[in-house]
Amino acid sequence: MSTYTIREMQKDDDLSALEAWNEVFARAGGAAPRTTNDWGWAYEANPAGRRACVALRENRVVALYAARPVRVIVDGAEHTFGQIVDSLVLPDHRAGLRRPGLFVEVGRGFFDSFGARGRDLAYFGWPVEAAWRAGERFLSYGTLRQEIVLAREVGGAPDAASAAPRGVERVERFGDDARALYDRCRGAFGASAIRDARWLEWRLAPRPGVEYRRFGVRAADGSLRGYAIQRSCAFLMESSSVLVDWLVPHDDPEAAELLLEAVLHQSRVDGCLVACGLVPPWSPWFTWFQQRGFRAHPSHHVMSARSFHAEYDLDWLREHFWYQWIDSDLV
Amino acid sequence: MALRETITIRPYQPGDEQAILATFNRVHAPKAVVVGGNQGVLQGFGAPQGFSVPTRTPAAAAGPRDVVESPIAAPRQVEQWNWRFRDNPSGTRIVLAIDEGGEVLAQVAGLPLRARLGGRNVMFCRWVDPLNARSQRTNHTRRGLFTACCEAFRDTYGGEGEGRHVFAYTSGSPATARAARAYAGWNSLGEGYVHELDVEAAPKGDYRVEVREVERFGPEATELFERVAIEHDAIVTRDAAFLNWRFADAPGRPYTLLVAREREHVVGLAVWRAGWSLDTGSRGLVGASASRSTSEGRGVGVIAEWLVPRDEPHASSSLLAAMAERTRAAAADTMTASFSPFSREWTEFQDFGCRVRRTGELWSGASHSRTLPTRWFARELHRTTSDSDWA
Repeated sequence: MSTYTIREMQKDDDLSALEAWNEVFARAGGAAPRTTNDWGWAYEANPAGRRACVALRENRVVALYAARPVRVIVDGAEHTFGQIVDSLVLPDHRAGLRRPGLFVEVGRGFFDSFGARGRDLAYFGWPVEAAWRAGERFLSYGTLRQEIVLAREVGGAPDAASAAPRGVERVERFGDDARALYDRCRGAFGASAIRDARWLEWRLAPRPGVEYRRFGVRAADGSLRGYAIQRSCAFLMESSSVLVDWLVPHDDPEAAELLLEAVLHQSRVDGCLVACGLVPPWSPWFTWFQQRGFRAHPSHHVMSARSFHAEYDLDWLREHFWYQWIDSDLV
Repeated sequence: MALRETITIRPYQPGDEQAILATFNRVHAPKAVVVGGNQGVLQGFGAPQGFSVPTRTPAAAAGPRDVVESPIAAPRQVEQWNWRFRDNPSGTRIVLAIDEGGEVLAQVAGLPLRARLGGRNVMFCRWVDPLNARSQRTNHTRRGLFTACCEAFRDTYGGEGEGRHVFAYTSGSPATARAARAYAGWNSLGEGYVHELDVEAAPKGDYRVEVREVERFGPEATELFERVAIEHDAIVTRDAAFLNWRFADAPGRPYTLLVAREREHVVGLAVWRAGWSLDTGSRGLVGASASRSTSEGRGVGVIAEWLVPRDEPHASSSLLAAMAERTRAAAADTMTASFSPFSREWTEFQDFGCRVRRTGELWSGASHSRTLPTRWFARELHRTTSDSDWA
């Protein structure tokens, strides 16, 4: 019989949950410790709300199963997806229950609370192998795809003095035109996170040591024709230039060429050897980037998902869900 | 094993083939409406002889009926069945559900394949030709009968013991993958991709290597396989016996067998055939969005098999040049090949100028190993085009 209390995470649980996170991922896992600000950004400031279940013993969080909710448009209607993140069980409690274990119990509580009751349409994530195995066996995870990353050598000399391509500007803050641009593009996607100013500004919020570069191309009337978000960091390789998000209408190849050149220029300035990005392989952009020197490389990231809508099952999501690294917590 | 009194589920016995073919040809009869314009493909360039073509019924339909309703170019003949199942050097693995009148109501079949797993000789099995007849006259649901066949197949042939297959896999449409998942309990191995090469951009070949067309592969093919096999943790044994059965002895003989030699030493082999693009829409003819894709029925040169050891740097360009020549002669402008994502060839073929395109097919599988999960096979199994019915 379980001696744990499993329920939705409340605001009062935040400090204890943060301590548990730091114990598992920072002290034992080697990740940078999270601060209360980090926690507040993830669980308080997210414009789509919070999704988390905890297991408590003596008022202490000993297990957490959580997702980052995100507003999406699916077949023209607004819904919510969640990216599964931060799932943990404190080491002393991993053997506290017979199989299927506390991880699964909290996960079931999570899906019962948020998925089965119709609050969210689907959940996705890129779980580590152990979490995937438990999720597949006990939590109905299914495999969406093994991610194929597009990457190319940046080429050229790192020259900070060279000019960025004309016609590309740095976007300081996204405004209403981000949503307008998204609305122009989303017809090509069956399902996608709503890229509006509120979500983008939350997702790209400044953090110590993390800088997202936002490049935009504007029309004569000042509206956004397309944007690209880039970050230089250690990801997949020691020194990568990561295309975090790419939003360009298919019928504006000029904007696309300018934005790609801006990303490559920034990569050279940062001394990155490789530029990489992620677009679903059904997208015409998958071919477009290959035509511009990117090559398709298998990665060890496997996207898993669970849908709570019969019509939008995993086969549908595989064919229609537009996502990039911005939709993950990996970059 | 009997389901009620009238249906028997049992392994294939010699003499069952006529009943199997009767059901197979009935349920695979071409339909008047085929999503994605496949009819043009089926009647067109290089249509396969007796292989089912993965087509797609509308997305909402799911289940084994989808799997068995893929039309084929022509009724399968007993000659083709014999080659595929009876003459397979690794044997025959079929479980049938048969009614009291001798009609085959359901079938789960696989091609047993000798394989190497961590250097050990084992068996794999490639699931093919699942059948579920529409004329079933019992109270059993199709799902129940098909599932019973899947379970009997697994229990009879799967496992780690002598002669059992430790891993089973298949590729096909999302409907096939759904059926494998729902009725056989299989897992996803990943999406299908092809490497496409414009023949005009193909390598020109290497003067040190001579490529010859052969009727059959000799012992040198087996030696070549042994050199390739050490690179892979999981690979079907592509020795001369397998290659000759798979390609040289195939009815209709659509394949061209090529051997590359450098100073009389065999340095690589490849198998080519005129074929067709598995899909031509960006989202895949066999994908869930098939109805939105466009099919051009594009003729291509298919690189059906590829065996070049890592330390033979001159063989690849010459084999590709020879196949580009044959592709041009077949009035096609593109060559395609399929490799598993973590294989060396996945990268090398991009070095040769290939672009990677998703096909819309899905790979599924099930591990019967006590230590290696299906996800391990998804990563480690070395696949080429010949691991599917596409080639």
